[in-house]
Amino acid sequence: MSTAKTKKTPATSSAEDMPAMPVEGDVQADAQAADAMPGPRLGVSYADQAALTQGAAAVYAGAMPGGGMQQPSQGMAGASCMQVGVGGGMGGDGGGMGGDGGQGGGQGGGTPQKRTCATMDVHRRLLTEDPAYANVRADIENLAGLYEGDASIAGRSGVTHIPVVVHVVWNTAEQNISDAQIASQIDVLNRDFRRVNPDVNSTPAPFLPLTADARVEFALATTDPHGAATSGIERRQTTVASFGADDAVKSQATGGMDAWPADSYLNIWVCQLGGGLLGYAQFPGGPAATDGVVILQSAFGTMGTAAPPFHLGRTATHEIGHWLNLNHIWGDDGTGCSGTDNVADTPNQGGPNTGQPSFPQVSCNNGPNGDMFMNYMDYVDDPAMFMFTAGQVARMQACLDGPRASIGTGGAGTGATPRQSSSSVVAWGASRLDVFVVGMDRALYHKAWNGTAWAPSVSGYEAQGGICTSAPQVVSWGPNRLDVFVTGTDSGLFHKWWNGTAWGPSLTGYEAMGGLCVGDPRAVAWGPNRLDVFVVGTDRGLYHKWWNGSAWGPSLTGYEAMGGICLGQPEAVAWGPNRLDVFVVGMDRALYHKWWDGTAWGPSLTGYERLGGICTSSPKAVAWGPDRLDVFVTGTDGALYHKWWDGSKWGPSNDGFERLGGICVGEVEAVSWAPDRLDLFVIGTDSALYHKAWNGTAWSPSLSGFDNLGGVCTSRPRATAWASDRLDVFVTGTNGALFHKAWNGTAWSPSVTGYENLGGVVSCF
Amino acid sequence: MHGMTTALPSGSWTHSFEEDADGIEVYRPTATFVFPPSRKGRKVLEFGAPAGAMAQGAATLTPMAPGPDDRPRAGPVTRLVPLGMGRYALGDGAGAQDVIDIVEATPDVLRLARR
Repeated sequence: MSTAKTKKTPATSSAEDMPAMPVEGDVQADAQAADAMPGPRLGVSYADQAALTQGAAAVYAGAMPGGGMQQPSQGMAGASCMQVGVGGGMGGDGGGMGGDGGQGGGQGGGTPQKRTCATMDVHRRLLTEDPAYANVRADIENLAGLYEGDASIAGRSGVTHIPVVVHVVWNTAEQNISDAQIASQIDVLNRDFRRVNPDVNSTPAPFLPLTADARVEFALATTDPHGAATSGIERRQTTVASFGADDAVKSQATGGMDAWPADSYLNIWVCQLGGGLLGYAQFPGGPAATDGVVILQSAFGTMGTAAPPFHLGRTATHEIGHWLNLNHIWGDDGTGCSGTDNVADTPNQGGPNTGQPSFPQVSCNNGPNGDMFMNYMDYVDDPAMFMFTAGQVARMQACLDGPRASIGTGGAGTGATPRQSSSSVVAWGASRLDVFVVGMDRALYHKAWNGTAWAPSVSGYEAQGGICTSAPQVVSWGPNRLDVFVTGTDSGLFHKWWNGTAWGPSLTGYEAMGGLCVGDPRAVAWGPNRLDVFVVGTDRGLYHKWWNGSAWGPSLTGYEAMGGICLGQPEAVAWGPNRLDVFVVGMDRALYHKWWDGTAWGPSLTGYERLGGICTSSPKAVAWGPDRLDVFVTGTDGALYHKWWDGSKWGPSNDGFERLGGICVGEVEAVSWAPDRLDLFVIGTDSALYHKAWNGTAWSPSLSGFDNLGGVCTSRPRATAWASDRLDVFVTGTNGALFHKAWNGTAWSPSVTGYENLGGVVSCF
Repeated sequence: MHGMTTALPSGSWTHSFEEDADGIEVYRPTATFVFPPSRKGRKVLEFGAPAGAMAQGAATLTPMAPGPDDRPRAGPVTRLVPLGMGRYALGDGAGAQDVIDIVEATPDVLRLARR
């Protein structure tokens, strides 16, 4: 970090001090080859290094090796701002609260507790036969409950577009329904799930205000799982005269057709079904091989073989409702009044309605309006069902942010999973940036881009109090929600939050969370109202605490000890709900990994998976999709190195790394604005910012090359991507001010090597 | 009524509720009868095969009904105890008993009345 000559807080910064960051035209590294960072020198490949280490695939069940291997000669690139010596703790809510910060003791005092989720009980009774599935369902239900309580937390603010594959499995020629009949079904879905079906206006007046747009659209897939063009329809003649509800239609081996990957496609099987069955669904959380819906061919679409009273395509609407986690509106308790569909705005209802009832149909003392039998999730005939409620939409959106987070496109913003590790910069929505810095007085300062302007001003900052000894770490678990973590002069962890309306505990106050922390804390939110914070203790062990939506675990000031001896800072990402992956560098400077799978820590609570390498930076990890991880570090040759988890194995090998060239100074930044897209930022030996990107096929500008983005940087780069093909990068300059540049999809602004001066004198970023 | 009214049926029978009349429930063979589609699903009675022609209480009845995902699901299995005169008791193990009257049982149709 630079030291400014004048002690000024960012909030009062003016243009008087310091030369600005080099702007376009300043030559800092232009003499260097365009495809390499300055001063190329040969490095040892990590694959080679790894070969020298033993136990290539070993999983260390115990602590990381604490010695033996080389000690770091240069230390990890410093990420934190550990100036010590000024008395007092963080400013508390309403006053100095150094004493508060000391309460609760160190992290070691926290009693490790079994991590439990504040989850459901209803479904568990039904699902005892498969504990793993029961656990998954319980988490899905928990998320749905959160959304039901506050629909505004939905991460997909817009319309989700879901690719559909229709598997037509036919026995007699008539069952081989036409493309036009299939298209008529897609049209129905796009009306029903957008509340533009004309018959929604037939909803009885008392229920009409409850009708809602589910914000989901469907389209036949245009690309198959192998990347080839497709019509989104595939057909097979089968010898099976009629299928049952046993999933046989979902497998080539049993006369049906195999599913396409359920994380990318909605599978719809259309076939003859026996026993008068119209269709059946699979709730989220089940096996991918059978995920999707099955529809009777004569109840599919609105033409061809579609026959009354199931000739309006509502069977698919109903089954896809289940696929998006909706329950039957009467609560699946037979005809009793104790069942629930887990939706608040639907009336309690006895049993299913059938046929085409007249309004009202009273049951369970739900008069005068009675049952909402015109809901898609009742059992009435196609012409009699025509609406979802707002509560049902919240439940479906929870499903799309949770167990079906990977499917579909169009949900913008960082609210959608997967979620990245904390940073000083975060975007909680499109065209929104929040930046936190520590000023020369070591107080916290904040500024925000609201889509049109910086607030409080281009060069101004909002003062947020405190005396910070770490870089601010902020995460956002939902739109207009921020959680900021810093350490104080007592090395304790402190927290403050923005709830959309106000800062908690106050604008300048902090929640004291105990601990004795070394370096920057790291936080990640795997879902709405969830926080997991990782810190390194003074014993260099990794420690963990979490917010489960209602309380901090293991306690407000306690920590779960997770073993290890860590150099530098931990990294944590969540590629899905209730999933965490944590990376640290061990005393042997190898990369280590541990993970939370929703039930337990792997390889154990205090154990780590060794992933090789000799790291000279803290790890930076990105998850661009479910079960996908990309990790970046610098090596002893200063080059950037990469390894990845593809869902089944580590690439290029368990302990090997892909060398991406360059000579990097300090920490690595990585973001992803789309699946299979990675953007990396590093600082070169000339202090300029450098960039490279993975476009799904190749590294740009080359495997080992970087693009020079200019500047003379005095901090690590911080980047975020609030939309597809959008990048915002922040660094501090030699004058201590914060500088910003952005990629808008076509060009860097203000220019390739230029920066926007955001003022301030930053001591830690 | 005519037909084999005294033999205990076996196999899987599905409720052809469209044919119900006068308190009589009509069931058709699950595997071979072509049922009209039904959104609310159809109850399926699975009669376990008696252990022998004269066996008492060896048959079982498994009601099936649509589950939360619309797949037919099996309810609790109950023993079917012949009471004579085409009447059978469905024991639920808790003492309470439903009685059904099989008023007609042929290879093509099963008609029963619940008492």
